[in-house]
Amino acid sequence: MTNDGVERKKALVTGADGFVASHLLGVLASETEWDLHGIGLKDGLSEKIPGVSYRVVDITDYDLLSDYIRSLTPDVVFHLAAQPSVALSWKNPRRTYEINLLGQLNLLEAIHESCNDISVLITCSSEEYGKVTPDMVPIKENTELKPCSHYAVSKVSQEMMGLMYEQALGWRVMVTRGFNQAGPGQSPDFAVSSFARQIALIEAEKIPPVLKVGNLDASRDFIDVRDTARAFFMIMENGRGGSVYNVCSGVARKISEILDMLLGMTRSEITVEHDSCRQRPSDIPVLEGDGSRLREEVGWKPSIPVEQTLRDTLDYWRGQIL
Amino acid sequence: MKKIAAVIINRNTKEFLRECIVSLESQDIDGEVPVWVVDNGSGDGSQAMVLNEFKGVNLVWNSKNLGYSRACNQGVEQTGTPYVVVMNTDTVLREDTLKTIVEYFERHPEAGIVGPKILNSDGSLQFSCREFPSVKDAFMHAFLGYFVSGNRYSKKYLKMDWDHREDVEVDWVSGAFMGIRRKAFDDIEGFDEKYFMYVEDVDLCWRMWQSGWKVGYVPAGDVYHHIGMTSRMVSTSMSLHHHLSMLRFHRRTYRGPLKFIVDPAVAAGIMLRFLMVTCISYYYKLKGSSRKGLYDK
Repeated sequence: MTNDGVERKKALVTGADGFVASHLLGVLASETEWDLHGIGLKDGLSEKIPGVSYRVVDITDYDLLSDYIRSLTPDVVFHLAAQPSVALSWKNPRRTYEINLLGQLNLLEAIHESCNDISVLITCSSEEYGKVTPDMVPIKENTELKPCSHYAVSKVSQEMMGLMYEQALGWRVMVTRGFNQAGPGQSPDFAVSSFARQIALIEAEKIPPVLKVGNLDASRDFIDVRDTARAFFMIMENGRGGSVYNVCSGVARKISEILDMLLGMTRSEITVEHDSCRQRPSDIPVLEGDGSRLREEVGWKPSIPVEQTLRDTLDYWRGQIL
Repeated sequence: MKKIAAVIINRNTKEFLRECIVSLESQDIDGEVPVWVVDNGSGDGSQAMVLNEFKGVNLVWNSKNLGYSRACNQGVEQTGTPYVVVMNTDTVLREDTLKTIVEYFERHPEAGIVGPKILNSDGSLQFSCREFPSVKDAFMHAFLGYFVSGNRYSKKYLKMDWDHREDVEVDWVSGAFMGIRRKAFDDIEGFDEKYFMYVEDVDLCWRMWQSGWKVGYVPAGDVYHHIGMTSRMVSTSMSLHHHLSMLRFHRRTYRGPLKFIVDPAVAAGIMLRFLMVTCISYYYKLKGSSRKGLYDK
């Protein structure tokens, strides 16, 4: 109950133990009076946030999940739980579909069994657009989807599934297509965090001063995770049901430019070795989003410059190394 | 089978680098030629240019300038071919350059290094083969040669009276472009990284000879070297590195009599030359022109 005796809205964040979710929970805790709940696979949240009730629940375990949903009956759900890596989706496609597709099905069916009048935000990815050509950039939400990895296919499927529930059952479902997240706390499976972590390790003389890299020529639309978290909250507050929103900065930068900026933030002498043979299958050359729908319908725009994102990420890893 | 790889050392010479890589891609030779660009902390977008325009070219990108010798070693270490060419960016190869290098090494199994014919931008011969000079010849070339290029000491040092038309063994060849046998390179443990820049080519050739490998010149496979283009960018600090490198080489190699007297005398002479060159350089800068040939290699 709030202080005025109004029943608090119950919000559930799946994948609450993850990178983006930790920032989202922070935004929700500071901006709302909601009852905050999170589920994930790890023993606890990466950062303790006051007022968040966390439980270990695997979304691929339908029985456990449906019991949990039945007991909670959330009013809003932020569905962030997923296998988030393109590279890992090539190594283990089955697990990717199991988590992303079947896990979401379990969630939506559990909600269907127990909840009425629900708002659900499903976080998907710009990877769904696939190999965009220069004439398609900046990418709008109505751009044809041509996913070219298992991860991207799973996200397209999540989107279709979620919007189907909206149409069939009258739920309020919004979908986000996030572009490249970056920021403190991100797994080193992702480029910015990987570079920053390695630089921090080099500074601490824990590894030789060499970075081995793959495709530096790709251009990506980087957005700070803290801006993303704020976007998710604002979409839940103001977004239109049945809508898909690009969450992006609208500025694509080459990975080499990002690396160059990071190298400028360290005094260590570092050698970057780029082997032209080291590339992922179906590497997409350019991903730059058009975020005008999100700005116009929801009132959100990015506020954190990329230099600050990189500096904060590097400082995060420096703190972790020490 | 990949027989030869190319290593290009770059620092802030993006346009030359582009032209150099294009000439490597036009080589008439069997088998793929892996290309490595080693960038020493460029701030002119060279790294992005390589990544964007030359997808098959490999890049070693140093966040700071680690020196020419270290960069050469980094590049050569990446290659796995029996022969390697190491070059400056301001060189442009003819279509048969790499084939010439490979064929020379196959004809001369005793050769550790070979230099092809090097031409100026206008097609005239560049004197790329040198002698290891005596202290006297070096002194005379260093001072007299600065003002009178055709003096007999400079002519001897630069082999200017030789027609450069035959395969011969020479003391050393210019590092602007040199072919290296990988086995020989590993034997002598590569370039000495104490030479930050300049004289590392002289030192490499000297150590090849000391280890039983030979250095040769082949009058073919012409390479154009835009000498004077990068030398206009020589700063006082680069000039200082050059003179310190000269001193290092002298100390390593002089085995003549009265070393305890000769060494300090040579050091004084080199310092005097540095001061002379620096003053003259500033004079020309104030005049608004550059002195061509200051760093002829």
